[in-house]
Amino acid sequence: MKVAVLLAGVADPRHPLTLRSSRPPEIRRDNPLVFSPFDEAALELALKIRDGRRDTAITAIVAGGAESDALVRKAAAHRLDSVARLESEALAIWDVGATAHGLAEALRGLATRPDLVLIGREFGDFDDGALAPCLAAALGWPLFDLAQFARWEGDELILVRDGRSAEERLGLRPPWVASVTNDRRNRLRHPLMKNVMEARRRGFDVLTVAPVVPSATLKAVAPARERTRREPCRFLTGSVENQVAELAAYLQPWRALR
Amino acid sequence: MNGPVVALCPCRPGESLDVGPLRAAKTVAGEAGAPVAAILVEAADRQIEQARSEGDLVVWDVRHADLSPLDDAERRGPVFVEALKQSGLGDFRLAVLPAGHVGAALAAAIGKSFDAAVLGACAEIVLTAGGVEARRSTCGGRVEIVVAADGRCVVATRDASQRGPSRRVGEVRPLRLATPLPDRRPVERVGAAGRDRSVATARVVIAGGRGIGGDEGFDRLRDLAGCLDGAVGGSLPAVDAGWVPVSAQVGQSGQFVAPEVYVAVGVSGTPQHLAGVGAAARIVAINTDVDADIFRFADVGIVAAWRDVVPALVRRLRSSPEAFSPDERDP
Repeated sequence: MKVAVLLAGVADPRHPLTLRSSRPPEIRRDNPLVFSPFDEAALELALKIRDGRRDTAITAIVAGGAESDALVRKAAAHRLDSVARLESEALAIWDVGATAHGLAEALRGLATRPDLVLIGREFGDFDDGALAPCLAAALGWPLFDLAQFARWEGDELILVRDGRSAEERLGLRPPWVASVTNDRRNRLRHPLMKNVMEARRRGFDVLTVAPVVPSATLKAVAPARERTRREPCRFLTGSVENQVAELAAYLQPWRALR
Repeated sequence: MNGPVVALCPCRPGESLDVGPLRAAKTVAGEAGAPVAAILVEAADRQIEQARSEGDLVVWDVRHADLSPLDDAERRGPVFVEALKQSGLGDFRLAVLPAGHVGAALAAAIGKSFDAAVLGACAEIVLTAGGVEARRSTCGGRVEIVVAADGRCVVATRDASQRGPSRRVGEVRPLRLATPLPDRRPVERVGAAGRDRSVATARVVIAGGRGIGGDEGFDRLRDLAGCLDGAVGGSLPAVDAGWVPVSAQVGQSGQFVAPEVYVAVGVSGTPQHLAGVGAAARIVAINTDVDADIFRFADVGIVAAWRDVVPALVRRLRSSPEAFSPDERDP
């Protein structure tokens, strides 16, 4: 099984966001980067697949500029078969269509075609979940979205997710794209320190793709507007019993009909 | 371009229609004087009536001979594509879908088939001379961008503050399709995960966060949801912990919800979480931390442990006199 994991990283949500530029690549450069929970879930899912079958080969591609090199090494510390950075300047990362086509081109350029492409349900700071389906469409491959877990049953890889009415399991017949979401079973493990040190010494390829014609224009970038409120919060006071009674009265109009 | 604005509504049996795309399409079209239509696939009579009552639009009641309720976007996408073509709406300027992974998958299919720009989950959508301009939340809800595209566009809508029903009722046109669909995927369905009611269309959402601390707390939230005819959701940390299914995750990275009341229990109120809650929702916050950000956005707040409040609230609601009928609900 050949697995390609696409990773992007996001501005670390534990730090205030620095917004000095209206260019997404510069915004990315101006802020410390970490893997998002969905990047981590995608990478961990690939590692779980390899845990089950040692002949699994994992390629990780981190989309970004030179500021992303630390993320490339962080991925490499999991002893992947290959790691690379995809120069993202040509992708127009805020443009879903352009990014999907750029990623598809990068995947087509790999020495061997992956059987499975894993990508977080959101890819970086500028995707809200539209990218993975567009990537699958650009590749012409089927999509299994919101995968949460994977396991081997004999020679068959099973991808698992919670559906609306049942757990859904897909026996994989390559090639597939799977978007991966957060789940307690795919929290990213810690790499061994010796592998972290080796990853720091290891080189990696920088991939490039031809600039893609954008399907959209970025017209403005600004800090998010504060959510407006009608009035300040009305804190209920008195004993807890009194607060509960007041809240029950407030919620009375929405009480379920008997 | 003079084509219509089209709301695309995937329907699930037993659930209310998500009217977000419909109202967004009406609002966008109304401001530009463009025609507006809605395509409902495999809708129940009640859902058709909901769409029709929104008024001022043509509602296409689309059925496909080979589509089942369990079919996913891989098979629903081609139905929407064919419906757009056969209804004469293939020259659309803008197609509006619900936010979320189903809408995203359908957007990809429609974008590819019609060579339309996919703009993502947007608000403040307007038609321009040659296309569409819209605002999208990025960077975990901390940055907003404005994107524009010429030609056909596809958006998902996260804007719940759109034009409501009008006095006129819409016209319903049936459309029966039998075009070949892709083979069904060999997806096996096991057990009963995600049994909770969908948060996307609920009038009341009870959301738990990290502060709930475990499965038992979510059982109490389900009790409360039962009293309020509501649905239970959770923040990303609660989903990470396995206390609530990912299908009920509320936030920038999960479901967008636009309930009348949002009861946030043990939720800190990060921008990422609140980006998934419609601005018109009344927020009730229960949290032990008086400095939690959620209180900055709440209408009503209780500073206390959920264990002291939620079970007592459930008892109180269960023991109070007869519930109001829907017509009386006007707080």
